[in-house]
Amino acid sequence: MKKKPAAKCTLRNLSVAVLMVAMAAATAWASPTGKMGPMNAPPPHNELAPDAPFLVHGNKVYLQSLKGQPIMVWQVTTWCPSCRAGLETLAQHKSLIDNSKLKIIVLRDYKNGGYPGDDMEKFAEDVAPALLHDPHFVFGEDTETLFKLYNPRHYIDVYQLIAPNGQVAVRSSTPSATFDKIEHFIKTKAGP
Amino acid sequence: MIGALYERAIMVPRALRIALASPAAIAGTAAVFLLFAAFYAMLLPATDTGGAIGLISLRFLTPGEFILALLMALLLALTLALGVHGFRNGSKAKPGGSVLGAVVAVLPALLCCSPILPLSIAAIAAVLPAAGALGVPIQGFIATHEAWIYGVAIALMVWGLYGNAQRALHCELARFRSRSAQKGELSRLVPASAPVCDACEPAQKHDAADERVSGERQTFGRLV
Repeated sequence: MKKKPAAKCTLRNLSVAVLMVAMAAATAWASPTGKMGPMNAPPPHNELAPDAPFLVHGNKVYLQSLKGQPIMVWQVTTWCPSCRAGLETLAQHKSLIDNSKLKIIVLRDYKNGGYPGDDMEKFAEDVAPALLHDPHFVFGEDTETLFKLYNPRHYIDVYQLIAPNGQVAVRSSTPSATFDKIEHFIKTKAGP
Repeated sequence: MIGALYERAIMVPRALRIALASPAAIAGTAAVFLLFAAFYAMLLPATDTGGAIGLISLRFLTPGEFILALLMALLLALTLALGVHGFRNGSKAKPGGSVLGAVVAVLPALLCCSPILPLSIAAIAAVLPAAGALGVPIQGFIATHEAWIYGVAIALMVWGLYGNAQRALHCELARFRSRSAQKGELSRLVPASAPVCDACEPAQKHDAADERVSGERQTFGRLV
C-alpha cells in the first residue's frame, strides 16, 4: 500500500481552534449587551400610557384608576429566569421602593406568554414572599388588551415606568440588569 | 465491556500527557482555560439578565454555574490543546462534538430570556406569518430545560475531547512509525505492509486495523 507521510494530513485541527475562538468572539459580539432590544429603548416622547384593564384575583382593575401616582407596569412570564431574578432584585431594594410613591404592578403575560407555568401568586410566593403583602406591589394577570398594548412584540420580561402625569418615562426590560433606571425614576419622579 | 470502556477512557489522559508535554503547551492551555472560564462565568448567569453578558451577569453567578463554567472551560481548553497538538502532527480533526457542545451551552443564556429570539422570530414572521407563534414556546422550552441543555452540551464536549484524544494518539503513532521507518526500525515494530498515515484517519473508519494499532500503541506507550 502507498505510504502517505503524516505531514500531508489536513489542517482541520487548526480549524477547530479557529472555529472555537471565533465562536466565542461572535457570541460575545452578538450578545445583547443592552444595545439591542428593549433593554435600552429610547425614552418615549410625550407618550401617554394607554388605559387597559388587568386582573387582580379575577377582578378587573383599570390602569386609569392609578393615574396621579408613579407606576411601573412589569409584564413577566412565570417560567422565565430573568423575571425571577428581577423580582429578587426588587425584593432586595424593598426599602427604597417602600420609601417612595412608586407602585409596581407585576402582571403575568396573557396566557403566560404562550408557555405553561405557575400562576402569579405561586410565582411571587416562591421568589419573594415578602412582596406579596407589600402595599407598593400588585400581582395580577394581563388581559389580552393590555398585553397587546403594552407588549406587542411578546417580550417575556418588559416594563414601562409611568410618571404621575400618565406619560411613559421609561420602557425597558429585565429589572435585574436595569434596576439603575428604576432607581433613577424613583429619585426623579417618585420620591417620597 | 468495562475493560473496553476503560481502554477508551484511558486514551484521554494518555493523549493529554503527550499534548501537554511542553511547558508552553501547559501555559497555553491554562491561558485558554482561564479565558473560557471567565467567558462562561459571565455567559451562564446571563439567563438572569435577559442575555446581558459582562460584569452585570457576573453578579448573578451561582456556585453551581461557577462549577459548570469551570467544567466547560476545562473541556474546551483540553480539546483545544489536543487539537493544536494534532494539527502540529498533521492529524485530521472532527470538530463536531466540541463545537456543537459549545454552541448548545450558549443557547439558554442567549435565547431563553433575551430579545434575540423575539426579534428574530418577528423578522421571520414578517415573511412567514406562521412562524410568529414559535418564539415563546422555544424560549419557554429552553428556560425550563436549562439543566438538560447544559447536560447535553457537556456530553458533546466530552465526546469531542475523546474524539480528539483518539486522533491525537493515532497521529502520534503515525509520527512515531514514520520516524522508526526512517531509522529502519519499522520492520521490527510494525509490519511492512501497514499504512503509515492510516492512523491520522478517524478510528471509526479503521475498525479492522484497530487491533493491530492497539498492539502497536502498547509498544508505543512503553516507549513514551
